[in-house]
Amino acid sequence: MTDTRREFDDLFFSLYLPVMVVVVVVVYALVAFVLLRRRDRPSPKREAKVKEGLYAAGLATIAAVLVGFTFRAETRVDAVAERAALEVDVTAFQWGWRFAYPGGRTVVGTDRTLPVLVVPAGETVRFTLVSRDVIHAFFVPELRFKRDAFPHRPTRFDLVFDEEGSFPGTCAEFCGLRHADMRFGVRVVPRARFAAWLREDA
Amino acid sequence: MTVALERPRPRGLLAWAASTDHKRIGLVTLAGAFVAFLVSGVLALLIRSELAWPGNQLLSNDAYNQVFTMHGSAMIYVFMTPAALALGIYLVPLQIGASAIVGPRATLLGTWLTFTGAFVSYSGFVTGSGAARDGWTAFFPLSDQAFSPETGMDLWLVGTTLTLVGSLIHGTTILATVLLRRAPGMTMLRIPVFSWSMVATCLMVLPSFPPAIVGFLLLLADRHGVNVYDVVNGPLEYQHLFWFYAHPVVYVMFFPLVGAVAEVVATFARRPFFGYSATALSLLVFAALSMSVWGHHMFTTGNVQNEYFSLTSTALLVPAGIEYFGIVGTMVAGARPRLTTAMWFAIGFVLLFLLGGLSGIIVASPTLDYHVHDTMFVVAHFHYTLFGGSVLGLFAAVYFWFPKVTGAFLREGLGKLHFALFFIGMNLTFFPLFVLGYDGMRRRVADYPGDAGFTTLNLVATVGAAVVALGVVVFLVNVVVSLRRPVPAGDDPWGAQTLEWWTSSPPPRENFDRPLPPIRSFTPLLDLREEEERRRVA
Amino acid sequence: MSRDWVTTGLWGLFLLGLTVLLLGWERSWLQLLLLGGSAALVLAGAVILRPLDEHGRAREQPETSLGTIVLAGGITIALLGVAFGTWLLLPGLGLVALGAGVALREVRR
Repeated sequence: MTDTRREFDDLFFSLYLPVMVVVVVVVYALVAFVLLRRRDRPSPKREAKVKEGLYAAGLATIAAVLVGFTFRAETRVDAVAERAALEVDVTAFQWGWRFAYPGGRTVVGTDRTLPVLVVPAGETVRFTLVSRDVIHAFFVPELRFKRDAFPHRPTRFDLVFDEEGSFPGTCAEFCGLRHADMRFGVRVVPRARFAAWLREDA
Repeated sequence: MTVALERPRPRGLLAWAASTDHKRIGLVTLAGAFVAFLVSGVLALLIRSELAWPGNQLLSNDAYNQVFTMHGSAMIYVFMTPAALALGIYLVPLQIGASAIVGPRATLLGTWLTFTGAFVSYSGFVTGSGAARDGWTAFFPLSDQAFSPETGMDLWLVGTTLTLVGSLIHGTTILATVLLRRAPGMTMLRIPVFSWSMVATCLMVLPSFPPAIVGFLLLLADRHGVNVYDVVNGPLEYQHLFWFYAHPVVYVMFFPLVGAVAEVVATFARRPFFGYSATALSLLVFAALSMSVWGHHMFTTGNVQNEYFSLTSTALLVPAGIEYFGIVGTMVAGARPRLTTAMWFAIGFVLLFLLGGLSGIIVASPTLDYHVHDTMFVVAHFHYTLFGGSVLGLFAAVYFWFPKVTGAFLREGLGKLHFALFFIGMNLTFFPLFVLGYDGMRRRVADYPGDAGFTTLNLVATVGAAVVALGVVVFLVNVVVSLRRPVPAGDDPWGAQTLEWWTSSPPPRENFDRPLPPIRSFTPLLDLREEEERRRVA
Repeated sequence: MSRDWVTTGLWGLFLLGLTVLLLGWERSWLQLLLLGGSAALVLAGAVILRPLDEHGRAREQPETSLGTIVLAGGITIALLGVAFGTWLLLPGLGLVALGAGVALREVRR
C-alpha cells in the first residue's frame, strides 16, 4: 500500500531537512567567522587541490545518498498495485471536477457546489485521471501528492487514505480564469459506511 | 607616455541608441532591462497587494492572471536574462584585453530585438481583450486559440520570440569574443572568473534558446490554423521544447552574477579568487548538467523519467557546492573583507542564494516535489535564487563597477540602506511562501479561502514587498545623487585585479589607450602590484 | 596555444555523456534529439573553431549603425505580420531589406 504522506514525511524530515539545516548552519557560521575575526593580510595560498578534491567527493556522496533514498521512496509512491480495492475515474474540467465510481455513482461540481470525493479509509484507491480541456492537476495536500491531468491521456495512480476525516483538494496547474476557485473536498469514511454510500442514489 | 588621439565621442540619444561601442550597447541594454525591472516590480506590488488578505479587492481574476503572467515574463525574458548578458557585453572585452566585442552591430541588433520584443509583448495591455494571461510558460492547450483567443497572446508570442532571438545573438557575440579576441598571453586559464562565468552562460544559451523559439513559433502557427500540438502528446511535447530552454535560462540568469560576486569578494578580500581552476571546471560541469535537468519541471506529469531527471538535478549540488567553496574559501583565506556596499550585496548573495539552491535540491526529489510543485514553495525557491541570488548579485556588480563605468562612486550610505531594505524585505516577502506552499497554498491564484490559515503569512509577505520597493527607491535616489554631485573614482578605486581596472574610468572608445600589463595569471593587476611591492622591498 | 576549441569540445563531450545516460532510461525521440542534438551541435562548433585565428583583428566599424535599428524594426514588423497578416509582413520585409542594405553600406564607406 502506497502511503504517500509517510514517504514524504520520512524523506523530508529524516533526510533532506536535516541535511539542509546543517549546510546552512555551516555556511552561515563561516561567513560570520569571516566578518567577525581580525585579519589584515590575506593568506598566500592559491588553491587547496586535496581539500577541494575531498570536498567534491563529499558532495558527490551526499548527492548519491539523497538520490538513493529518493529513488526508493519514488518507486513506492509511483507504484500502481495489481489490484485496487476501489477504482475512481476523475475528470478535471474548467473549472470543476467529476468523480465517477463503479456502479454508476458520480459526483460533479464546481466551486458553486463543491464536489466531494468520498473514499474508504485504509484501502488502496486506484485513480484514473484525465482532463476534458486544458491541463489541470489533482492535488491533495493532506496526502502530499499531486498528479497532472492531461486531455486525451489518462494517467493512473494509487492512493491510500489512512485516517478518517475531511480535508481540501485543489487543482494545482494553472488552468485559466477560475483556477483559483477550482477546488474539491475529500471525505474519508469507514469501509462499511463507504459501501453504503456507494449504493445510495446520487 | 603618449596619449592616443581620441575621436570626439558623438553625443545625444542616437549616438547611444545606435552605438557600435560594446560599452554603450551594454549600458543601453542594462538600462532597458532595468526599466523592465521597475515595471515588473509594480506588477509584483499589485500581486502582493491583491494577496494581502482574502477576497478580490484590487483585481479581478482575469486582471490578476494578466498581471502575474506579465510580471514573470518581464522579469525573465526582458529583465534578468538581458541584464545578465549586458554585464558580459560591457565587461568581457575589457576583461580579456580586447578593444571591441565580436560583431558589434549584431550585438546592437540583439539589444533592439529585445526592446521591440518587450514592447510588442506588453502592448497586449492596450488591446481590447488585454495582455497574455497564461503564465510565462504558456502551456498548451491553455494557450491555444480555443482557450486564449485574445490578441494579447499572439503579441506575447511574437514579442517573446523576438526577445529570445535578441538574447541568443548576445550569447553568440559574447562567446565569440572570449574565444577569439583574448589579448596575447591571456590563455583560457587566465581569463577572469567573471569571464569564465560568461563562457558557461553563453554555452548554455546557444543550444537551449532555439527550441523555445521553435516551440513558440509553432504555437503561433497552431493558433492560426496549423495543427501542430493538437495531437495526443502535443501538450507534453510543448513542455519538452519549452523546459529544454526554460531550465538553462535560469542558470543564464545566474552564472554571470556568481562570476560578478566572485570578482567582488576576491577584490575586497584582497586576494586572488580561491580555487580558480576548480571553479572554471565546475562552471562547465554545472552548465552541462543544467541542460539535462529540464524534466524536473514535469515530475507531476507522470510522463518523464523521474529517476534520470532527479539524478541529474540532485547532482547539481556538486558543482554548486564547489563554487560556494570558492567564494567562501576566498573570504576565509582572505583579509577581513572591506565592507563596501558591493561586498554587502555579495554577502547577501551568498547567504540567500544558499536557501534558494537548497530548496531546489528539495524539489529535485520527485516524492517531495509531488507535494510542493505548483505551490508557493516553488515561488519561494525561485525568488530566493533569482532575487536573493541574481538580483543581489546584480546590485553587487552595479555598486562595484559603477565607478569604472561613470568615473564616480555610488554613495555608500545610501547603498548600505538599499542593501538593508532589500535583505530584510526580501526575506519578509519570500520566506513565508515556503511555509505557505508546504501548507498547500497554490501559486498563480488570485485569491485564497479565508479559512485556510494563509492570511497572516500573506500579509507579512506583502509588507516585505513594500520594504523591497522602498529599497528600489533608495537605489534610484542614489544613482541620481551620485551622478549630479559626483565623487570622482579614478582608474582603480578598489585595488582590483583584472584588466578593466587598468584603463581609465570611463574607458576610452577602444578600451585601452596604453599598453597592457604582462598577463601571467587571471589577476594581472594584483600580480603587477605584488611585483612592484617586491621591487620596492628589494 | 589556443584552448578555445578545447573548452567547447569538452563541454560537448559532457553533453554527450548526459545524452548517453539519458538513453539508460528514455527512448523518446524528442528528448534525445534535444539533448543529443545539442551535444552534436556543440561538438561541431568545436571542430569548426579549431583552425580559426585566435587573436583576430576586428573589422573597421562605423561609430553608429542606424541600419541595425531599422533591421530590428523590420524583423519585428515582419514577425508581427506572420501572426497578423500580409498587410504587416510585406512592409516588415521591406524594412528588413532597407536595414540590411544600410548596414552593408555602413561598412563599405
